Amino acid sequence: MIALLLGVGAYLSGGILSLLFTRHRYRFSLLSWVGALTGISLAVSGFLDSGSVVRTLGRWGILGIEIKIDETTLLFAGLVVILNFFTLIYIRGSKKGSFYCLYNFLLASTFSIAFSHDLFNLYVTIEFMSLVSILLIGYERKAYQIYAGAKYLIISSLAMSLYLIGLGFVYRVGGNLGIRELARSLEGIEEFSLSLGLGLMVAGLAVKGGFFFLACGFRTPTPIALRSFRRFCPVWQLSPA
Amino acid sequence: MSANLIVSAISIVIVCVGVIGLILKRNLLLKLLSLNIVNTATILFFVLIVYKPGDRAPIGPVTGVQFADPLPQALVLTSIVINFGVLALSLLFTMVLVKRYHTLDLRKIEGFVKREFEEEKS
Repeated sequence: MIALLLGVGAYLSGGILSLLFTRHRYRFSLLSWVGALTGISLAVSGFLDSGSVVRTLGRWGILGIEIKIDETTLLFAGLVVILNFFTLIYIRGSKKGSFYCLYNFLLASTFSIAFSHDLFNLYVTIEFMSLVSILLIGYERKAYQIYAGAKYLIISSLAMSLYLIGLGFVYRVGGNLGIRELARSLEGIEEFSLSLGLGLMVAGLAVKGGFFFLACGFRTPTPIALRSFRRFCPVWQLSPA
Repeated sequence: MSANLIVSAISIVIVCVGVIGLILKRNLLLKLLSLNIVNTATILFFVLIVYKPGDRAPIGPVTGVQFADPLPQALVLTSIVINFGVLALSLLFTMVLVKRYHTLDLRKIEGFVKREFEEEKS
């Protein structure tokens, strides 16, 4: 648990420090990478000692936020740290403004998504990640970047509304939002509202990821700033009446 | 049919109205308004679907009473704050675009943006 907090804390503090001390922002980003690497190393050694672990944050029993450390979460968090290393080498201090702050916040949210085992926590971290990534899209304040950011912001907000409706159905049946507790309480239950809720949650995440035919009236959304994203995304090809 | 179910159905209808507005309107500000309708109706739906009759708010040292689960309340509060953040950010983006292009029509804005990008590229 300390390992996880070290990773997320390193990125968050790196972001705040790079905003406060602008002359050393690249160094702070490097330091936060070192902190995250230490965190992931501790988590791997803990996993090798005691296997996969599910913990609940706080002293509220099943109401607390569930966090899981297993092979998948460690692989995902490890990928975040490795990609962070190569990105830092690639940019080599060339970026200016609030880039490093936003970049570190994005990494902190990605890191916490990797370990999250709670649908509520996932909702919050995904929203935080999308807000930060949209700010990163438009941080140079060029018109086409801002336009792309606005479009993605609207579509992703609609997607998270679908996710929230589905979450309501799942909570109604399961009575909890922690994935471990939900798995226990939903075992053997076959209700239409549960299937509907899970379907809406998947649809919401699909719309957010761009794998869904919904354009929200944008003629050719994200035509420029997100070209690589557009390739995977039939949404952007649609045209309204 | 209980009143709770009827209001839940109405909130789903409001979500659909918001989505239709989001798809059909060409004005960016109207799109944001539709998005806000969708978000608000979603919160209304969530509150109604997790409501259990007879539960009381967990306030004060009252014994022998079934307290409402605080988890959905926390989720709804968080959701309201996130929606506020999203709306503020999208209004900021709209403000920047309007300041630059003097229009709220998405087709016109897109045309300007495309032209500008191609000029920058060449």
